[in-house]
Amino acid sequence: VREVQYALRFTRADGSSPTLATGQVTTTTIGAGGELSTTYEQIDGRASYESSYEQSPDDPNLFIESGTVTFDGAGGPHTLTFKTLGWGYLMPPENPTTGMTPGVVMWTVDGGTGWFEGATGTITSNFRVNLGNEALEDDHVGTILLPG
Amino acid sequence: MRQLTYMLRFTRAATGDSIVATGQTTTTVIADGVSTTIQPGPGEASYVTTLTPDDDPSRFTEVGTITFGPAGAPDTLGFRTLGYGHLLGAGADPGMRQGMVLWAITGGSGKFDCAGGLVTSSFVVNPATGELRNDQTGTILLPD
Repeated sequence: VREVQYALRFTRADGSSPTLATGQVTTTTIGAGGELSTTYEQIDGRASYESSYEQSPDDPNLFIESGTVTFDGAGGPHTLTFKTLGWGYLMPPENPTTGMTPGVVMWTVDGGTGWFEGATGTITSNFRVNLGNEALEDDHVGTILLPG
Repeated sequence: MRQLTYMLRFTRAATGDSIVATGQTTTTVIADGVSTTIQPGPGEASYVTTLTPDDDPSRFTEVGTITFGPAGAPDTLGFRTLGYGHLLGAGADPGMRQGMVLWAITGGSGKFDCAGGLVTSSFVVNPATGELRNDQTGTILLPD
């Protein structure tokens, strides 16, 4: 078994737009006095994901989700399929500065194609979503296990 | 409301050791496959946590504190588990198991006074030795 990881920020302009990421350089700096800052630089490469979700009937801030992450590349499609582990959490209130509401969800990977044939593993999603227009900013960490 | 984000890899060599991270540059390349490299940078962070096992041995909850800066620095975040943390199947390396947990930030001190927000944790751990590698993303919300 070999492990492949990715750390990507997916973004979506609104609910009718695709949810896309590029290759990425993420730099988190911790200053001598504990100052914290992070920059995100886009580089070559492209990925996207599609998902469908269902709210809990008991709590509209809980949801489950399933979907597919797709990576562009020759010989594709290169995909990972996922489903929620436990619940996903939307955590109101929205940030009045950005209009975005934060949330988090854990996904288990239950298969893949192309580069990810036979994949298992985990994906964490730390997101901010605009509940009005469905704009999205979603930081993923994928830890993918592949045969061989 | 101000928003800070972070992406850090915390590690622990063995049970009883500190769980620490440095600043870092994480590069994910998409080309003929996907690969990620992590380059350490200046600065340090650490966290301490108290785990409570569940009746289901694959689940746990925890509470703890993340410190940005040297141990004992005043800039901290408190956290607690959202739902359950999950210990999953075998990782790529012998003895390691994968897992994930979500944390809600419950407050802070110093630069993080009155903080809220969320943290995701994607980890591999050796239950026998305590060796840990924990890739975190954080969204920290602070009053203006």
